[in-house]
Amino acid sequence: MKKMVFILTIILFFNFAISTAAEDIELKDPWISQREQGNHGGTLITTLLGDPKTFNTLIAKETSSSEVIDGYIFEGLVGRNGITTEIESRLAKDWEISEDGKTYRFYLREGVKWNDGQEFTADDVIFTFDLISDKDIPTSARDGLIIDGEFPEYRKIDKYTVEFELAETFAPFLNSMTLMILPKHKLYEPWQKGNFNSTWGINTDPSEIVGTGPYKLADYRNGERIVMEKNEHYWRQDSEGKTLPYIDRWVRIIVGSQETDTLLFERGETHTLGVRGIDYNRLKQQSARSDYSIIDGGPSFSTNFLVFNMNPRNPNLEKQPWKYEWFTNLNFRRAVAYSMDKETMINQALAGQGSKQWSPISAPNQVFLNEAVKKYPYNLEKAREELKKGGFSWDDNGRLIDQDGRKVEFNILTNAGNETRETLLNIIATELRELGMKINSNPIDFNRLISHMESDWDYDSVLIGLTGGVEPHAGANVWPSHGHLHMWNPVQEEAATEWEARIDELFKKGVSTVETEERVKYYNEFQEIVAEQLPVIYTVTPNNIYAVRDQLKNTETTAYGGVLWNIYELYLEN
Amino acid sequence: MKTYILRRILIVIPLLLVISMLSFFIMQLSPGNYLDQMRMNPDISRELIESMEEDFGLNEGIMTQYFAWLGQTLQGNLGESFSYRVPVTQIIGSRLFNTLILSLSAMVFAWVIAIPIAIYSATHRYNILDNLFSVLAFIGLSIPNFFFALLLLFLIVRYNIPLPVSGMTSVMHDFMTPREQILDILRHLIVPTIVLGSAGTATIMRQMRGQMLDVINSDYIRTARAKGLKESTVINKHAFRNAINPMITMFGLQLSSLFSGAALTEIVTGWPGLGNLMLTAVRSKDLYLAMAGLMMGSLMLVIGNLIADLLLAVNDPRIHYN
Repeated sequence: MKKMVFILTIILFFNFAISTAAEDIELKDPWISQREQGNHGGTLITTLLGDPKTFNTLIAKETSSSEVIDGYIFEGLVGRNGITTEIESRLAKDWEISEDGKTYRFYLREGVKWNDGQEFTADDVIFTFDLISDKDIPTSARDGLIIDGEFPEYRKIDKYTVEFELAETFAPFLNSMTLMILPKHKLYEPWQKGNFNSTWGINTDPSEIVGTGPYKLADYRNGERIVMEKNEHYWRQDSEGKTLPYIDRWVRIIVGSQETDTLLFERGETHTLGVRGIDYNRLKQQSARSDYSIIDGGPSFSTNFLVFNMNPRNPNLEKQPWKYEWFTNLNFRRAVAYSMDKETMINQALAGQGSKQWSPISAPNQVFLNEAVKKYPYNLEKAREELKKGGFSWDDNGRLIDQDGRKVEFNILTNAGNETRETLLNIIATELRELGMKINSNPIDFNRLISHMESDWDYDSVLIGLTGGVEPHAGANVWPSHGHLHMWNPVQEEAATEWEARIDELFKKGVSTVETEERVKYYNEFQEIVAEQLPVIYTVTPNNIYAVRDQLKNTETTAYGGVLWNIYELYLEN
Repeated sequence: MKTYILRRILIVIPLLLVISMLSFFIMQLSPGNYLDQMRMNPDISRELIESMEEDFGLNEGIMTQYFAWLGQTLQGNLGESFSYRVPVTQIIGSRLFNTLILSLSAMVFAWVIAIPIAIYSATHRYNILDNLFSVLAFIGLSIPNFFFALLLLFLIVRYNIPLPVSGMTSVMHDFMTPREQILDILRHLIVPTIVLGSAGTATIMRQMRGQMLDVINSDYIRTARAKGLKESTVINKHAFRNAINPMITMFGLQLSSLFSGAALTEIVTGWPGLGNLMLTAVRSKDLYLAMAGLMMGSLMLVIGNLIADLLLAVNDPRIHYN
């Protein structure tokens, strides 16, 4: 009997010791909100346009997954500010970059906890990079980290310090460090067993999904909603020292269509809405006597551009070799650029809510955007002049002919079902017909379009778009001549033209220094070259417009971050 | 009867096999595959796409892929979804149940409304109500479901009708008592049921009305009336029983659409059913997920037909199966 008591005492003691040990982890470096002190509590309701496909952030490829988890449930060592787009601290409170730009040392916030109460340490960071470097895990995170074919070396210095050593100076490395850190204590076992790729699928018990972000998953009903609850252990605090976020629960309703999304907002059932161009005027009028405001975040990262096939390997050239001559003729491309009626495009395709795009860097990218690039304002007279300079002329019926008297006729493809692009295509075709060209506009299935562009190389021209980002090197698959998305002439062994060679060089130089000012210079020149040479001809980009209930406070809405980028310091007024 | 059922079930096997081949090859013959969406993403390298292609077996020949799939399926493994990376059965399960609820409720709605109206119309031919029902039926037939759904939703918002606009359960669902939970789901069912049921109502109504008219004008009804039977007995017992036969066949066909016919309505009303999932799967070429959906639809069609044939025998003693 005595023995029992003794054992019990020991057990109790150990339990006590263990529980106090967990309590002992003290957050050494909280982040303190500078915004207005709000009240805690409440439920935020927003919408999602699609179901997540997985909660495993490394495997996730679609935005429908990443917009649920990245930044909200998981966080990176660093992240980007929602307003300035600059890199700022997250799980790492600070970092040092060596003189030669090859060694990065990150100092982690001490005492940060995963949302299940376990402490976050350097081991988790090392574990995450073990995962990323594992070739059996299909993750695009690895691509961003491989420099000259080598994965950087990484090591733990102590419990709160990690160090990376790169083979070469590589400026976008810090951008790659925004990738999400995963918990070793939850994922080590599945990884060892070889089923990491199917771990954290959509049917996982929500409490299994552990991150450091402001929210944790509480419930997911397939096709209906995701419910997230405040992470009680979060490392951000309000000015009174209480743990953020303010809002206790966050419900994200999965709506099937944008129409339903808008209706839900108008009924007052949700707090925010991404406004479509066609709803803008109506909602704007209503907002004056309603409890919400409309905020124009400015141009978004999405692009729409026209690209001509300048690939000498185009199989159609056997029959029509002259097309190569036309499309590689700079005057021809300039004429097309001058005939882009961007005002009409904005009014008709984007319901008035868009911006003109001139540079390959998207407008919200305040650090790298070069506003001084050559612009081609709508002017058919100038377009005709350019055509004349390029050796084109017109026959008696006003049809455009080239030097050898051939009528200028070509196809423009775009992906069917994308209303904006179909409208843009119509406007472009109308203007080019005005110049005497014969245009066959042809919206086709997306998959067919991709095979024309990616593997068959047999198209004339395509109206398509790519989504940009803040780091210009993200275009490394597009702009350098060896890139597989170098659409006009992909995967070249050696740059076909001088200006392409220069862009190759600029992209190499752009990563070879960590000084932002110097990088800006290289990327400015790159933007000038693209605007000068017009391998792609930009059209218009939609603006990101949001409707936000006045009840939701502390918001500062931008095209880059949306409404919710600082969700941890938003609060609901009673 | 038993041998008949057995024979029918045996015929199903080669039928499903052919259907599976057709669906698989048609889907594979259209250009591109699941990975195409990623090819236009500047963040994803070619090497990664190639390794995924290998992983999914998409680099194999179509025949190899088909037989690999068939072999798996026969062992009860429907394969893994490309986009979800989990077995398709896991994804389909809950969705299937939701679609079933909606389709059943729409079907009940359609039949319960259509049959009495049809009998009324047939017995009161060309009076005002009959004409009104005809007009409504034509509207119901011609209006596209998604548009009707949007229209209803718009009216709900415009006139602040206390009905939910989207989804199957409300946000507070998990905190309700079981009784409230059922009521909650019923409230959410109203709009999609009306939308989905309306087209069915119209078809059934017109069909049934025509059938009734044929029967009412036939000799044996005249005989029944001549015998001095009450009019209600003539209509309900004699005319109705005879007119309903072709409707049972229709019912069997409708059974098969239980799992497949509601995609657009589901999308607009945010109903978490199978239709939406399948549409995305087919469009993004998530091969095995789409195949599972198609095969399930086919299976239902076959079973629906069988049930209809059996019901026919039950209703009409003149029909025998040997």
